[in-house]
Amino acid sequence: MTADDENYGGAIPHLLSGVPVRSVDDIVDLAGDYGVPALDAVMIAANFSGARTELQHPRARFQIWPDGPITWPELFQLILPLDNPESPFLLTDVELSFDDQVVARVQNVENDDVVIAYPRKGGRAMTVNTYARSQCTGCIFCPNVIEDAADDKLLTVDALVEFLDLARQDYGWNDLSHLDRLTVSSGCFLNEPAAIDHLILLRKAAASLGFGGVLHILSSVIRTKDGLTQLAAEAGPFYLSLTLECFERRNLLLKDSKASLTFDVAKQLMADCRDVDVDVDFTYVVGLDGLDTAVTGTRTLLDNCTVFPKLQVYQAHNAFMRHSSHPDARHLSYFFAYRQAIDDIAGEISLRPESWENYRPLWYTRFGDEPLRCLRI
Amino acid sequence: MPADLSAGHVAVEMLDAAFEGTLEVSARRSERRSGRLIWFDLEQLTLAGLTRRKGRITHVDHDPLATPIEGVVLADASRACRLQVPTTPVLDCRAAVITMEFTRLRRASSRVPTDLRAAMTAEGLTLEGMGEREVRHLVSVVREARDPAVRRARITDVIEFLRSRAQVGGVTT
Repeated sequence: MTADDENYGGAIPHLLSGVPVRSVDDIVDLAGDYGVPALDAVMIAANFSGARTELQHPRARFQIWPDGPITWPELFQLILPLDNPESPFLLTDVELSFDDQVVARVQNVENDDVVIAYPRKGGRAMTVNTYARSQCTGCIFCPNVIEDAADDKLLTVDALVEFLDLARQDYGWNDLSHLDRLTVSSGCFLNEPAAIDHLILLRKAAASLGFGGVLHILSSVIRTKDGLTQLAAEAGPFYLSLTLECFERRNLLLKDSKASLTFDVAKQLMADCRDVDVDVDFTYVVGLDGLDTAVTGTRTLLDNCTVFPKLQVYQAHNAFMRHSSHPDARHLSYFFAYRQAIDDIAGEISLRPESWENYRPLWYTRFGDEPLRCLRI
Repeated sequence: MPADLSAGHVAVEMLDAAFEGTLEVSARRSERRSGRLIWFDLEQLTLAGLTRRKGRITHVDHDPLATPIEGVVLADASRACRLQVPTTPVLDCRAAVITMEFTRLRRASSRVPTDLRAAMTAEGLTLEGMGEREVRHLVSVVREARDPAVRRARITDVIEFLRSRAQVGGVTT
């Protein structure tokens, strides 16, 4: 990496021409070359570069209402790293701006600490952290080790019922029967039996509060068809997001237990999921691989998914994380080119992104040639 | 982190979720559950977000001989906190000023492993000037690698990063 790579100089580098992007108009112009709508382009740029702030948070979650050169009549959820002093974006507790030009009003700015439960999909889905997510370390792209956390492992049905009941009370729900998805985003279970045991306990606990929806986990340790069959039988309906994250440099970038989930193993597992009626997709961090590898790998695995995969913009919190991105991906146009390559096959697949499932996406208002209409938060 | 947490009764600001330490709060019993648990509202305490923390009552104002007892502090989305403890006669009271100790979080260590330190020393590189969070991140990536070849590759990568950092104004020994 050179000093120029390291220092954005208050602008976002442009991959093809080397001309820095210095304004919202520059972002929109660049995005136009890749068929990316203006709002989507600005959101991708914010995800890519993070923001500067006077707020005392290393990372913030908040809702934004696009209300600058581009307006949009919906709220979106955004989570941004705030440790990049070179970012052209500035976040305050009321607005997000690019080089002094306001691009969005913001609300509910909070430190993105590790919470133990929060709703999505307008309250019809809930994400829970029941197994000490904060204690999972070792993947370079992950901000877990940076975030403030106070979570714990819940190891019995009683503890899980108590926790779920707290969430129920907190959100003013009579029970959990209205939820159609419960997602487990937790610390690494390190092995398949531990993950299966926990999911079966969680299903029992949630069922006691009326939950009958899909139990979903983001995991790399569920590896066998027998395990999937057991989960379908004892914790189903069940949905697995394979935490693949990248295709290249896996041993370098990912923790041991995740790095061993190879591309071929993942592909076979996805076929196994479909065999036993388990929904499946994968998580992928856009920015860790060369562009060709990223596009080819994503397209190949898309054919095996039953839910649109969670394709997320790589967010670097510090210089060490920026060093770990792929050199191609230190430029905004990488992300637009990746998106365009997936847009190009949108007509060949039935799956569509859902904004409420992914708060670091590459699609906000359009996918392929279609408007992207879905719940946002 | 709020100032003066240990100074008398606390006019508590919102505590960082990662707060560790001791503070005094007014506690009021609000509910008994299943004959096994007692809930106290912690009237001056707020934590960010829906949070679950282990805590320990170390002192009760009207019963200085009370035995320290472990509990769980649950903060709801409105940031109000409740303390849950097993039933105990000592705490079977309507209200009390209690001293709460928030136990240390099991946070990833930022101590530099011996092999990484040796590689840094050999190159004349240090982590000086890096933030604690970045150091914790960098160290955790090396520490997690158990396979010797993977560990060597990660150390090499960290050294390469530190070299480039030194070239743009970072720190060497």
